[in-house]
Amino acid sequence: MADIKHGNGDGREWLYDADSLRVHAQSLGLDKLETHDPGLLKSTAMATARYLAILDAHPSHLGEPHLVPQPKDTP
Amino acid sequence: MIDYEALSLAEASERIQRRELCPVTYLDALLDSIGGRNPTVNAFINLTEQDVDHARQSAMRSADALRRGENSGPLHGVPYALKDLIDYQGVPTTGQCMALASNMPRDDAFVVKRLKASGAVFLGKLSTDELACGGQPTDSAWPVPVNPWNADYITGGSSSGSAAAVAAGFIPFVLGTDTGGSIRNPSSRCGLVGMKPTYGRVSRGGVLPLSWSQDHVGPMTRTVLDNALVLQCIAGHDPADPASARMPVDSYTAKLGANLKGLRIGVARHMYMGDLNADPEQIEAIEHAVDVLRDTGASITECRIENLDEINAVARLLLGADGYAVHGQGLREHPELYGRGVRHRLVQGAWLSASDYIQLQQRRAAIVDRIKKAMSGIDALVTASGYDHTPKVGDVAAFAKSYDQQVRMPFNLSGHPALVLPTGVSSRTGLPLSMQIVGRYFGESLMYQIAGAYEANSGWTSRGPG
Repeated sequence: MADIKHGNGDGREWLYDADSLRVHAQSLGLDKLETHDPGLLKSTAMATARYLAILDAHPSHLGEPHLVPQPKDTP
Repeated sequence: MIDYEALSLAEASERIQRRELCPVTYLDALLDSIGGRNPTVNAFINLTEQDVDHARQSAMRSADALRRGENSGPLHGVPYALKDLIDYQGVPTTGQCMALASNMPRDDAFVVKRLKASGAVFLGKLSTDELACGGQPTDSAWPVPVNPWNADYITGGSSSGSAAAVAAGFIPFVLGTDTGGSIRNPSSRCGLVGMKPTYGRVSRGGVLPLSWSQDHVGPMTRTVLDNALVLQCIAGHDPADPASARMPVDSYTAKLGANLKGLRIGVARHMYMGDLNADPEQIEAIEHAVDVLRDTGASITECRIENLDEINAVARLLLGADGYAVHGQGLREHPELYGRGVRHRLVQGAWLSASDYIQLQQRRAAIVDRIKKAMSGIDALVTASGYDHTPKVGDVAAFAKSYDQQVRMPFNLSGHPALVLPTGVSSRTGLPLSMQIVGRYFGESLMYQIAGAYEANSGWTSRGPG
């Protein structure tokens, strides 16, 4: 496995920028949510960004994709 | 004169089996308690006359069967209730979300089929934080349960009504669900034994999903034995749940009463004195519990699981993404049908890209390996469940602090079984303190042995607010 890490935070600047966030939200069809609950998009984007920032502080080696959760049938 | 509210499942069962207690009499006594105090406690929702008639008929069938000498086992004739996330045919499963207010299940959940076969008597549905998202909702269309130990305090969630019902003595056992601690959190706050079994041990078939890879179903009871009896009934393979394990089901009562000689128990102190800091009363109670386990024969070692903040962040992000996958369309099209807490929790998942999600799962694989490694030299791990004192109803700041202060999510992420049980009562609030026991995969039998040994030797004998 190549020594590639993820968790450097690149490409997430839009989460912090109101205009970029609005454009992204429109593309995701979230307009109604913001109309109904003003400020929801910013607060949820910030919450997601906070959790992602925690991961950025813990750079991680790429592992095998593991899309079936443990433990299934292997104790 | 029997104190029906104080009867454990096992005690009630014994009386029913000996035909000293008629299931109908027992049900009616519990209905009296519910009628008197549920308007304050708010554990049961929509308990209609039809529900009561249905339960009474079921209890009568159980009584008739006993008269004929037919006995389905320890749950025969014993009433139970379900978190309103679990399907019971003919009763709406709303998740206490207006978007699902008229959601009528066409079939029973797998666990309900098991309980029906055991002769248990279904009574009704119990309150939940909306869609099991947690967060102590303030804008719910349904009344929010309060803690039976003191109505000024919250129960914790999301299996809020489930915990309140058992702690209040309304019912001897319930089923809850746990995606990020939703069985263990309210069980801790209400002085109950709450088991989140190994991922795949209990089917989620017929249970409203939140996070496909972190959802669990499990029992909440007042004693360890009761908990083991219920898990024995509901554990097992279900082909309809892709995660359901084919592992044989152990006897969960076989080791109850045995001492702990030869068992190795790791204590993860850094989880409550280091990475996170629990209230001194919680710490003192856990340390006392560790002494009891040592005195009962276990060898105690220190145990560490590194980078808790990373683990919790991965669990929360995955929960948001998985939950948004389930409820995103409804949220986008009809936001007015969802509470503010659900909108806030689940829309967080909308901001994650496909590559974020894949990377989260990759991190998860590494985290699972880390937890397995930490547990490789021990039979079980002991740590905290609750950290702060239970917040008062309406104390938003205390609740927000308490929401992030927990180490329950790591074991939703890894799938390890985790059980909480009471360790005493706070001198400050009079509310229960607790600890968490984490087992190896499919190690529930041994966890009950440890929890049972503690229960028997701790001097902690109270079963409720009394």
